[in-house]
Amino acid sequence: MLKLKYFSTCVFLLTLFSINRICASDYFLNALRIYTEGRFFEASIEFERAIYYETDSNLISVSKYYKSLCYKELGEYDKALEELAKENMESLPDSIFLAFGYEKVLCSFMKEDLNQALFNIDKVYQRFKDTLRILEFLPLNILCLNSCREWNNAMILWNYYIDNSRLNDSVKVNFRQEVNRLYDKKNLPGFYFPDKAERLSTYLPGSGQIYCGALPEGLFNLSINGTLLYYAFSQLYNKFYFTGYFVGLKLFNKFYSGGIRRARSLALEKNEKGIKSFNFKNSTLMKRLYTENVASSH
Amino acid sequence: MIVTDLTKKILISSVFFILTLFLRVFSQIAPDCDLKFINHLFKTGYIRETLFLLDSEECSSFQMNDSVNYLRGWCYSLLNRLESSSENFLKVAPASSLYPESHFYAAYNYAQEGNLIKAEGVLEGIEVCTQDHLLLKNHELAGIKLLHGDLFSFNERLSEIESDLPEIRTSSINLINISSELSSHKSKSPLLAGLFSAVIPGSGKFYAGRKGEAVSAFLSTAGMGLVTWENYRKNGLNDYRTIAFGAIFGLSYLANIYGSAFSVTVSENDFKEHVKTEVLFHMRIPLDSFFNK
Amino acid sequence: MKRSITRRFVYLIVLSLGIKSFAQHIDFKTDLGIINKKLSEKVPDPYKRPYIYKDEALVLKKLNPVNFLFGGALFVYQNILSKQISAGCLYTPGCSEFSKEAIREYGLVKGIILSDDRVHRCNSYAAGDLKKHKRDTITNRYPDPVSRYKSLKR
Repeated sequence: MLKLKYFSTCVFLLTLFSINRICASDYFLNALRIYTEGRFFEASIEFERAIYYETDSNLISVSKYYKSLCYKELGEYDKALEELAKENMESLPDSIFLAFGYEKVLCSFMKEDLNQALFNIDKVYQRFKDTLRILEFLPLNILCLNSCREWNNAMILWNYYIDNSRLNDSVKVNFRQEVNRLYDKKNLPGFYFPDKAERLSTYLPGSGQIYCGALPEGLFNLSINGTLLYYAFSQLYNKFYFTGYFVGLKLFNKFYSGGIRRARSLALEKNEKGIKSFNFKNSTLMKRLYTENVASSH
Repeated sequence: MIVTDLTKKILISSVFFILTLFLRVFSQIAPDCDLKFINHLFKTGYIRETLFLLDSEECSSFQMNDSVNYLRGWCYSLLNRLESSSENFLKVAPASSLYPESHFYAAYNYAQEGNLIKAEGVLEGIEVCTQDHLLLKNHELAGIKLLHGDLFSFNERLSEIESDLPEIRTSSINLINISSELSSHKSKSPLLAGLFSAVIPGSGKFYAGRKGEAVSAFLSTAGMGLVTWENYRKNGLNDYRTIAFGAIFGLSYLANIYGSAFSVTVSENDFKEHVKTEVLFHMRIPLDSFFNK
Repeated sequence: MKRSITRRFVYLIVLSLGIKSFAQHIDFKTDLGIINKKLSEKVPDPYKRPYIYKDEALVLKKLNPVNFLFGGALFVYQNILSKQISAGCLYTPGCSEFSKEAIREYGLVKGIILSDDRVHRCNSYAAGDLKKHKRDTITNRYPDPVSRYKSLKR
């Protein structure tokens, strides 16, 4: 009788344990269902509920991950990163660590925080030194390196990415040629030094804008400054001192100092535009490679 | 068929397993207003999410309505939607322990919005049961009188508060300081500011207390005046340059007069805004300390 | 009910086996789409602003030569000259936007006078009168809306 009692108690407790596990994960399942339906705001709440009630540390980590995915879908990259930062990545198993690392890199890149993105990439590489599991990170790494203008390193990664894809040799050769063409010196985005643009505009108004490639604007700035300076000096020469100072020189000062500021901001603007369009070409090529890779594997 | 011991054990364990499974399956998470989780969301700063759950069907028909309305009130308050916040606070029933806090904060929200009559009405309607609540009510009503600008009623109300409560005593002293600042404040005339600026450009702004603006108005108007005078002297009245600079000078001069008149209005409005902010601040502190916020 | 029980058992098995299939969740194709969208989006040019009477319903107001003269001058300033000056305004809205709003709210005469006064106030001398605590921490400017100048009554 005692044996039967003991046996039944064990079975009962085991059942309860397994059922408890199933039912606690109801919150997670419910949240996942809402997530797949595309209701990301509600899903983020339900994942938070799963985090609150769940006791299994792995499931909590997974819930946090999905919650960050919800924020990513809503375009709230700050919140996504905050959620991912709540987890101590070092203690996670490999598969979850990779997923966390990837999302951190992606959200940092979308937030234009390149330092954070590269830092997280390094963290992943340190853990998976020579494995092929880092292949998913290569495209983002390439885009970050492009933003930092590290063309040689970006090309090395491109070649590594192509070499480790499942494409045919001939297709790989084509992609390598395209990458070489993309990174050819004449196709790389130009860099305009903001300090140089400022200095040029200081010596000759409008030259900073011309240096940045805005020829009409530069000439316009030069003509305005020239006209105002001429006006100021002609008034002073003709003994119209107040007019020369209050109208001529004051206006000249406004346009001259404004032109210097404009040259600097134009250089920064052009640099940003150049990188964006270059990265767009890169990401288009990546999309093609990815599609062909998937097709080859099938 | 001989039923062995082992078979019996297996049969019993299966029955247990299936029974427990049925029980747990049927006792699935029924949708209800999970106040414990909602409180957790609120405390961790997820205000929009808290509001989303509170506005759901499950919470609308929840029996613990007072807690729901109270939380909703706080969510709207933190999102700066004061009208909705007050509406929800006022739904809390007198029987609830959250009633005094809800109604005091509802009145405060109305005061913050500028709806002083409603704020006063809510405060007068609060059913106070303790001496401390009565003192707090009188303090808040005194604050509202001060917001009205009614210094006589304010002093009357304040004399009813002889509070030993440190939260109220310090704030009352500060309100008294504000009232003396109000009574000693001399309001300025926009007409006078305009006249001053008509005589000396910028002096009207100086009278309004804006010294920096006065200097810049004087320099720019005087500068244009000198340019016009110079062109008039050398080119004559009918020259296009004299007319152009004269027009710009005239505009500057008019703008200086008009701007000076407005600077008095803007300064007075800024002073009123400053007084309102200070009074609201000293109405809020006792509430927060009293209700441990 | 049968399906939910089966689903729960399947889930239990998957969970107990570990979450090894997790890394495959990375949906790179969709993420590339998000990246592409961000890289191709056009940043609006802050120096391209519309003509003040562009959406004006009254034809008389739109074609009035005086309105056209001042509106045109404002348009030329905002779209061509302001980038040459690159001035950082002390206030929000900026001086030319304030001018536009003032003319729309209060008419041409009062709008021009208020704009002139605003331009005379937008310098380092007048900055000394502004209260630091009122500055917007994001735009780094002081709020000075047109609604402040509705009436001289306090």
